[in-house]
Amino acid sequence: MPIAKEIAEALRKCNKCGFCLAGCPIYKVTGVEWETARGRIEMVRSALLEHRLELDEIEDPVGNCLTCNNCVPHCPAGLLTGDIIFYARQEILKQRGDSWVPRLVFRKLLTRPSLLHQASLLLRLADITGLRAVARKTGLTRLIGDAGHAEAMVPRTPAAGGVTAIARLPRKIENPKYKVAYFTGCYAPNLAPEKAAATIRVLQKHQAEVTVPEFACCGLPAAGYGDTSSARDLARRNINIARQLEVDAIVTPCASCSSFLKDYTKLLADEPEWSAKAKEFSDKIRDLSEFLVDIGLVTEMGEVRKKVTYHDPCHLAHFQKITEPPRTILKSISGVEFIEMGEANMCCGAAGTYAFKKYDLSMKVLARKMGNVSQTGADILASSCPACVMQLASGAKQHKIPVNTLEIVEILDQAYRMT
Amino acid sequence: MIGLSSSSARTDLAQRLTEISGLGNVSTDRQMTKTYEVDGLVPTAVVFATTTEQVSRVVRAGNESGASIIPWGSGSKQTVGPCLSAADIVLCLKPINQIIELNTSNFSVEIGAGLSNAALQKQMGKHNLFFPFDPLYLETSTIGGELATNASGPWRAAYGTARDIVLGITAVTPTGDVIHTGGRTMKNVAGIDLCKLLIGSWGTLGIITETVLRLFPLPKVSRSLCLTFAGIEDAFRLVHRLLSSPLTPGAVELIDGIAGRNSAPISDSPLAEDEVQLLIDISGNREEVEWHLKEISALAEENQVRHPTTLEDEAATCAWNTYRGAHQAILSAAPSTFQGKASVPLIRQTDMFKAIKEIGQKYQVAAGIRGHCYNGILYPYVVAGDDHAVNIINDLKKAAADLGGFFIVESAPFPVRKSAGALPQRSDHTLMKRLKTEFDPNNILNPGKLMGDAD
Amino acid sequence: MVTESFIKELAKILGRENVLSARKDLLAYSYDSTPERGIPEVIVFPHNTAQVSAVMKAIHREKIPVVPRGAGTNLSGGTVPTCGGVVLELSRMNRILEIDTANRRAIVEPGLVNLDLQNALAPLGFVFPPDPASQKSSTLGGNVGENAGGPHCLKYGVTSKYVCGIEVVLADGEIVELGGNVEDIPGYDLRALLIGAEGILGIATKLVLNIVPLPKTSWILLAVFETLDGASQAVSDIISSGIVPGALELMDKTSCWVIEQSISAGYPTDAEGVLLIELEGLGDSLNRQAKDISEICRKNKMRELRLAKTTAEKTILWQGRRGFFGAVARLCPQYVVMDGTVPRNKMVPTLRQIGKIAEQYKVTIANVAHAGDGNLHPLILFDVNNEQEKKAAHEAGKVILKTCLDMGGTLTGEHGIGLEKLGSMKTMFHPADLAAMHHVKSIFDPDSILNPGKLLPAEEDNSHHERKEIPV
Repeated sequence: MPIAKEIAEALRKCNKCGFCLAGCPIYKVTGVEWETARGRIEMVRSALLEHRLELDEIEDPVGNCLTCNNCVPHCPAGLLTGDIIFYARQEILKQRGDSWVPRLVFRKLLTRPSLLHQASLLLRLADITGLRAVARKTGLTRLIGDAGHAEAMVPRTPAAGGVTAIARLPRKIENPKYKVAYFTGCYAPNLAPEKAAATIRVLQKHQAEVTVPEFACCGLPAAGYGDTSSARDLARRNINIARQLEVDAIVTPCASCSSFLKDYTKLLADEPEWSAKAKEFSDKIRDLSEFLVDIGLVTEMGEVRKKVTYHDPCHLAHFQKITEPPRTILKSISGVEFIEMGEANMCCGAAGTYAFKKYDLSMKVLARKMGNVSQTGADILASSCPACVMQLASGAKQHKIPVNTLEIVEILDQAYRMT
Repeated sequence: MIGLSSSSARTDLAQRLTEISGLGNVSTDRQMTKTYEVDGLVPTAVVFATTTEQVSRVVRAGNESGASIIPWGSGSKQTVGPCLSAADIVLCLKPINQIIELNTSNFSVEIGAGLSNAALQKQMGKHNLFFPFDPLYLETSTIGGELATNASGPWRAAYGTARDIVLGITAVTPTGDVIHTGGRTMKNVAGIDLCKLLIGSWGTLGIITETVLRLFPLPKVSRSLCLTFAGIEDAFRLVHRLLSSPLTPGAVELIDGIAGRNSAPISDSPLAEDEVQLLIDISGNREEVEWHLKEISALAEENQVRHPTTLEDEAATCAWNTYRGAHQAILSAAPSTFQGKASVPLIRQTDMFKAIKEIGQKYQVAAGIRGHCYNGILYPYVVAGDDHAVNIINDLKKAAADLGGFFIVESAPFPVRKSAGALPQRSDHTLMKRLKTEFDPNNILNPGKLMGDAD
Repeated sequence: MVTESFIKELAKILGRENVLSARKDLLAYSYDSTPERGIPEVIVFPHNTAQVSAVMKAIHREKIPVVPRGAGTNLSGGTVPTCGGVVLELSRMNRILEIDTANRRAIVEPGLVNLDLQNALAPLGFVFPPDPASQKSSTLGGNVGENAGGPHCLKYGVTSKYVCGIEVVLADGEIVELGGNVEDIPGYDLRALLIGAEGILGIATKLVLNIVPLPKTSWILLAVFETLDGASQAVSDIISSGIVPGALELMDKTSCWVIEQSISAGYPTDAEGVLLIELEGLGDSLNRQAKDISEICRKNKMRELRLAKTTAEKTILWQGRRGFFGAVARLCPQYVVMDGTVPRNKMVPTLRQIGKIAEQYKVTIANVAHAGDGNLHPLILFDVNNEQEKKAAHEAGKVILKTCLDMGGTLTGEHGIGLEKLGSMKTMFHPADLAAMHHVKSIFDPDSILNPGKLLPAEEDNSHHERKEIPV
């Protein structure tokens, strides 16, 4: 079985200097060599290049990776471990064969926001009513792990939500300065429509005319699972939707979405009829904080007299190198005392569905994160990724840290609404 | 079994030694050998070696005939520490005193171990270099002896001890093999570090015959501060402020009124009995020295310093010589005096200082103190009669141990050293004993020193 | 031979989660930062001294080889388990037990990462001076085992100067304390034997370290030279002038290029030689030092001098230098890294000779050096798929080591002998020197179970050190 040339080359380029050990949140809590980028690469190399290991033997080394890419800045050779891991997962999936569960999720649920909304209600209902067995039988939980562990983490599903509901929120703006499309991602419409509302209000505060198109899932969960072909389907679908729009930017407050959307160019690079379109699409993608700082943050707002610390989402800090704009925004909010936490750019352990699939490891990583948070004595723990915020909020509860966990956009919205 | 039992064996050995070293270099004449009496033992022969090769052959001869060998530099440390249990051959190394290779751009010098510290410094001074190593008897003591006994002086505050500034050692093992350890490079991690093992091994594992030393450029500017304090608390408060600051004095030494009473005053104002004095060396470029003087003087003022004096050139040299001379002055003034060494954690120095004074009061004997304040080392000088010495020593050992350190007897009259015992027994004691046996199966090199009698 | 029942015994001592023996585990612990390989039979993770002792007692009884390991970032093959057996991994013993600035001591477990200690010390105004390039990953236990150096060792000295005491578990499981918290502990300096012994004498389980206050300020000068000769001569001249910089690093053109490919640190890519000079002290004195150094460099064909004062500027320059070995992978993933050290006045001729060797063997050599200490790190690059080139690289390596010895230098300044330089030990040392080292080894580890086949070339009658191929 030949393997992709660039992956083979990357695998050979690791000279095992071990500098990546410093960046791996999982290694920090386990101390096991194959939990480092060096080790994971060695495992993939042994399986794919040297055939010394079977693919199922490397399931843990490959599966335990948060794909947070925090090892990347530490790697003097500049290897992108995340890409290697995604590739290896894809190979494992290929070998095992496609099962109907991910087919259902990635090819059906995640392509249509309305379907996803119904599914999330079902899953939530199953949890609340104790009918988890049903979910397990249908294979849903096999995909996302034992949801029972994560019950505390998933917020109560609102009665009314979904993109259709959210799409009704924007009001007309006179003389808009910008036209933006709001890429909601899967989380906000289904689990936190109030956050979506906040995002829309904040954008409108900046004289932006907001539309909420019915985008499909960005494709990251599928790619992370190893199902690249589903991810490409989703990408093509989203690109087509965007081509119908006349907007200056496609904005999202979700770090994971913006990071993957910006990567469509790479995802579709070998499809000649799509690569140019993908680039056009990716060029329009902006993280919310990036967008606001670029156009100039409106600073007319009420006072938030709080100590605030910030957690860097991996998809923002490591994948997009966006670390300053969120801090700039927080520091611009009057009354805020900003405190930098230790290891702020170290993963919180959420990593998409990781927190569900690898509950114990995720909790160890979270515990280390919460230790750093508690040392700051902050009132508010801010971040700019829904998955991080969900994970961090549950961490605060678990570790009894009196801190309010919020997305940056929520704090900003609060401050604007006080004027 | 150590030592030569029959007179014929002695004659045979003497003959063999003469073959090795040449007629003029071996003496079995009792009048001569008597001058090398140590710990009540008069050697059978005194041999002067001029090369490493000769040392090797002498040691081999000794090892083969079971004759104990006492390496001897200037003899200044022969009456320090545990007593010898045998002394058949005294092997004098003073003739091995060449400067073998001076490398002024590598800042290293290779010398014969018999070269005296003072002679070395004088030679190096000509090249504007120095070896930052200033133990007590540096006028006479040989570098080899100083390394073997891990001697040290005030400069250790800035430059560390011998293990930090010795690059290489050539030694003769107890079986007569010549070994080369270390080298002439600043860094070297090839093999097991036998060089540091030989330092402080008191000649029991090998005889140091040649060594490569790390040199430093003489500082452009040097000043000394002499600060007097009413009591130990003020002095050590200053010391601890220095220790936690980015200041880097060359030496910070302490002496109290009793230790200083037999020598001339270090500065213009003589020290009262309950006063203590800090003598601080500051060296470097002009800017650094000025900054240090300013900062340290200000800190001293904050801590109620009396008569602060800044010394330079000859006055400074004179002050340091006086300070160093206090050791011999106090020992000579009262021959029953013993001197020991207490090493405690840095912040425990005040407590140790007070404990020494209290023990002195308890036995109604005078107790003077000198110390390396940057290293947690205090040297008590106790003017004790033989009767009390053992009890005082036990009290000092206990006091130091209670503070997380140790106390050992160094210079003392023969009976006191004999009763003071050897090393404190620690968990690594067996390992050390085994090391000695492995290197010196016949126990011929300095038997009894350091590890005590083989039992 | 590690049997199933032995693995069960280990699991009983440590708990099952602390014993690994799946095929992937064995492969993951088969390497360090060199191309060397050796497959272990089981990996154990003790959490405390008592567990290390208990594990060692079992290992000792069975006479199984054991390799103590930290982060496995060493550069000499020292932690590669070439004789199979047990890898004793200390990464889970990584606590800071005590930081006592008033006494200038830090007491730590050996698995603690060097930089984690630095990060704990810096807010208190203190530093642990040894700073190997791998400091963000490498453990202090490993630093002690290798007697690690680093750029700042020019001014401060290497690891051995900063280790006051070591708690050690011996080959038979006995726990002993070497040295301690206070200075001048009488008796043989066994602590010195353990430092740099690459784990062949004992396993450190607790370290008492000496820490010092941070200097007031530091600046970095980047001096750019027309020729490599000029840069290396400037090093000699700076040292001879009596200035002792905090660090004095040399990089050649290839190295600068490699670094700039990795991160844009601001090193010039068209100059033959570059010096990174760190000055420490207070403002006035730094001005003076910078002026003196600038004059010296100008006399040696310096074409440009840059000054970095801000933390950001300084950090990126250091990041570039420290990441050099890994960054070379961009150019060529496989290389031989040398660590020969020469007297400081022999830097210029040695570097020239290395240039000639590169030509002669038709290999690319990138040079970086802790130049102030005469510690050279020539990197010989080769194509792993080209057998002839690979052979030439190794041959060139041997000749370079021989050159360093001929110049009055040593095989290794800070990386250790490990496996890689074992063959050259007999060139550097006489039989009597090696015999004395074996005496030491025999009292610490008479059965030769601790990291066999490393550091010391086998004695004639010793079959313990034979490499053993364990099938995976």
